[in-house]
Amino acid sequence: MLRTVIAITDSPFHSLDSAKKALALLDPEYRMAKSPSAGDIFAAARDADAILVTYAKLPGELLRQLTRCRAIGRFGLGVDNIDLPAAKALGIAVNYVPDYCLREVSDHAMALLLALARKVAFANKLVQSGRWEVPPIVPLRRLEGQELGLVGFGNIPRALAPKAKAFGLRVLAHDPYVAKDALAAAGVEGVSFDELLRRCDYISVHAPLSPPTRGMMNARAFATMKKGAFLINTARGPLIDEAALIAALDSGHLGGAALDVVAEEPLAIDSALLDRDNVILTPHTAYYSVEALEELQSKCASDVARVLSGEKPIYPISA
Amino acid sequence: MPFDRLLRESDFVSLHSPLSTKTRHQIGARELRLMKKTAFLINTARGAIVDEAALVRALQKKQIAGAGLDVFEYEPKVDKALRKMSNVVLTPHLGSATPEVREEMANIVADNILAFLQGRKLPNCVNPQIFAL
Repeated sequence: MLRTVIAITDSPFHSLDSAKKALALLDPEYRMAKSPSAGDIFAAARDADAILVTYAKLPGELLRQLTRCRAIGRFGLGVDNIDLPAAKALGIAVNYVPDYCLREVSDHAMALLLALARKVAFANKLVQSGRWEVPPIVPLRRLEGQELGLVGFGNIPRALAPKAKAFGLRVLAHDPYVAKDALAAAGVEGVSFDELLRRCDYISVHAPLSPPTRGMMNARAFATMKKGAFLINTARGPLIDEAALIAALDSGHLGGAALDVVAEEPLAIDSALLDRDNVILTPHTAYYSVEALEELQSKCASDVARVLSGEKPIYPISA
Repeated sequence: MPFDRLLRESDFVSLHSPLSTKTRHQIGARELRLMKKTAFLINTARGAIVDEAALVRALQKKQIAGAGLDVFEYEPKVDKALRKMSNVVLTPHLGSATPEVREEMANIVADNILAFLQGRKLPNCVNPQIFAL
């Protein structure tokens, strides 16, 4: 019997130990693509039984040239780099990992909220530069009793809501795909998008990026927000119309923003979001923890092992 | 749990003791050595609870992973080495800085003065023994 071959197109990880552990029973041979170019991926994956992919592109014309591929495991959540209809037509099972970083992203959103509320980043910058000054930092408002609005109520905001409530925040949410009863059951007040914007002191965005949500936080949305309110984005950069955000910050209408994602990553070195005391930026790290990446590798590779052993994957995705 | 065990086991150690002769330098070189290398120290209480020189040395030697400090031993002076560490977060004694808390503080002070002037018992007296004189 031929030895199982697993091609790895690209890997941002320090090691693939967790993935290899999950595949150990198959005792596979690993072939790492020299680069994530189509030619190098083909060279590694031509007669591989499965492919592990992170960011590399797997278009239909590449998939159709593979001779033995039965499974593709995507280390991550988004699958826009894989031609799903082509995979389906070829009978290749694709799996992803939709839930490896729920705790991390909801923690990160909470950390950004707290950093905005307590002006931690700005205060730290002042003290580090030798300025022990309170007047530029105050007033700060008591968090208890303020309102947090969640745009979208998927898995991440559901994990965030109880954390915010532990700090005494009232939590509101808007999600056109979630029934009001489900929101109420989670202890969250369901409201329209406009009411959410009008009422909340903090707006945290958690919508998936799609044509109707692209730029949903635009000039009109910012104008509807309370004066002095804060915006938090740990979802996708293009949900926010960045020019409109910059205008709302310049006019002083918004109190500040904390962004883990921006419209174009990496952020341009001359971005107007930089060098502002009321803007906190992190480089798309909300998903990251050692534990989350272990979970990501092991869930993704276990599903590939399942498919190669004739079982159903736990996290399938198809066109 | 005993103090030493708390230091040895915790990933985050947050200080909330009142400052007294007993708690001055409650966290010193010995205590910092007991803490995990991956642990963080948080102080929002009083600066002198921590032996700041020992903390700087512990951070430099990577005996602990980092610190979050709102209070300092020699406020408003903040150790220069502390100010340059990327694993240390510093805020200028902001723990109570909300208008709500400041108003409450002002009200408590006024209530106590009123109580004294009206000959009532002070609600928040720190040295009640003077009334026994």
